[in-house]
Amino acid sequence: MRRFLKFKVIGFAIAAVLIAAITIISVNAAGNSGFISSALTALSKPLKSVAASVAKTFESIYGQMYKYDQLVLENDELEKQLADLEEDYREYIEISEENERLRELLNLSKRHEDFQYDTASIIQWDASNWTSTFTISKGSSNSKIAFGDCVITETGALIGYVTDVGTTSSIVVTVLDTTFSAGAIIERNGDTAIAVGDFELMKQDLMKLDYMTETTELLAGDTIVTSGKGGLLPAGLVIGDVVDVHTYNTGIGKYGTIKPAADLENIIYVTVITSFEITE
Amino acid sequence: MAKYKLPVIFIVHIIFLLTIYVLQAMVFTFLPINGIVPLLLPIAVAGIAVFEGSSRGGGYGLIAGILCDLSFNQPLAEMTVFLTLLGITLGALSETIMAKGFPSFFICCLAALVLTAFVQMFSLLFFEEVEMAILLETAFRQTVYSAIFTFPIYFIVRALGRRALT
Repeated sequence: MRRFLKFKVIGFAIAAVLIAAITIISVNAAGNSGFISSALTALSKPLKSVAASVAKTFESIYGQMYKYDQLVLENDELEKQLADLEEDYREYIEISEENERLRELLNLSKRHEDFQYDTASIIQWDASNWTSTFTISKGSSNSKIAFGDCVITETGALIGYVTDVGTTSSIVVTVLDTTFSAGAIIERNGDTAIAVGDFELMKQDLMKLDYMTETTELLAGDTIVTSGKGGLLPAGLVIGDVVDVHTYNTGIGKYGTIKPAADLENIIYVTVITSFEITE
Repeated sequence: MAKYKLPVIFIVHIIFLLTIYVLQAMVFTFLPINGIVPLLLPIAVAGIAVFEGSSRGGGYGLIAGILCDLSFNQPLAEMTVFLTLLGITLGALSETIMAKGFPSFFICCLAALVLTAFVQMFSLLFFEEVEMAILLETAFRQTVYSAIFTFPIYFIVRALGRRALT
């Protein structure tokens, strides 16, 4: 054992000295790295590449772990900003729409200086398949609304009239309902008729212009407005446009179908005329 | 324990009727089919009457009738009286000649829906002189659309009936 170890130790020492000697001699002779150095460098290059790649991977993972928390914080901050901006945008849209409504109402006020108004929102449409009514958010305790008050849009299109006044809400019958009727004038020629709700036409979102005389001239496209006769509804409110003119099955008399000017499906806010001057 | 059971059963029934009312008056008004909204409260009353008898049918029919009139924006008279009488009548039939099962429940619901449609179109037929054919068409569509909801409501009223009578 001692002999073996002695031989191995001496052998390694001699090899080391020889390698060192050759390296020194080769470097000094050429001025460049000797061939042993070059060979060792060439052998170690792939190892160095692997080591560098592994080190870069670990550096990247560490970087991501460190940056992840920062990114989460930044994301939360951005989400909060986005939510604030979205809320501001919704508020802007709401204010813009209200502004538009009030402008239209101002125009209406200029045309009808005798009107006194109150505005309300629609709480609920009725669930019946046989009537066309809705409930508004104003009643006797928070407005001057009374039975029979006319309900219009901000542009002056007729929606209906109030039939029931509660403490904090009221019920409105629309122009499509079978119980609705109003004195009407054909705007083009001043001929009179009566605009009524009709059950069959209600299903098609239309109403009827009836009780015309033989001399009444009615054409598709004519605008129908309230006559104001009887004092129940103000004069000059737009009811709608004539879609078609029909003759009764008996062959005697004619009637027209009217598309209401008010878009009943999309109404959210209404204007109630609480007072007006009666003109006969 | 029995003295607590009755108020609990009452509260559960009220919650059930209020849920049906909200669905009828506030949800399905935005989901009409061909412009027709389903009627759910008469089905609920018919179910309670069939599975729990005439007195409860009448009592809950009264509450359902008030809710129905509120959803139709009309005075508390027409549906209040009608659904009360409907609950009493169907409950009496259930206690005497009808079996408590899905077939009799379904037939009672159909009868309730048809009679409700007739009550609703009565004034239009006799006072507004609307054509019978149009009224019948609307009544048919309303009955058929509403009848779809007898299936889910059946399981609820049956469960309520079992709890109430044990």
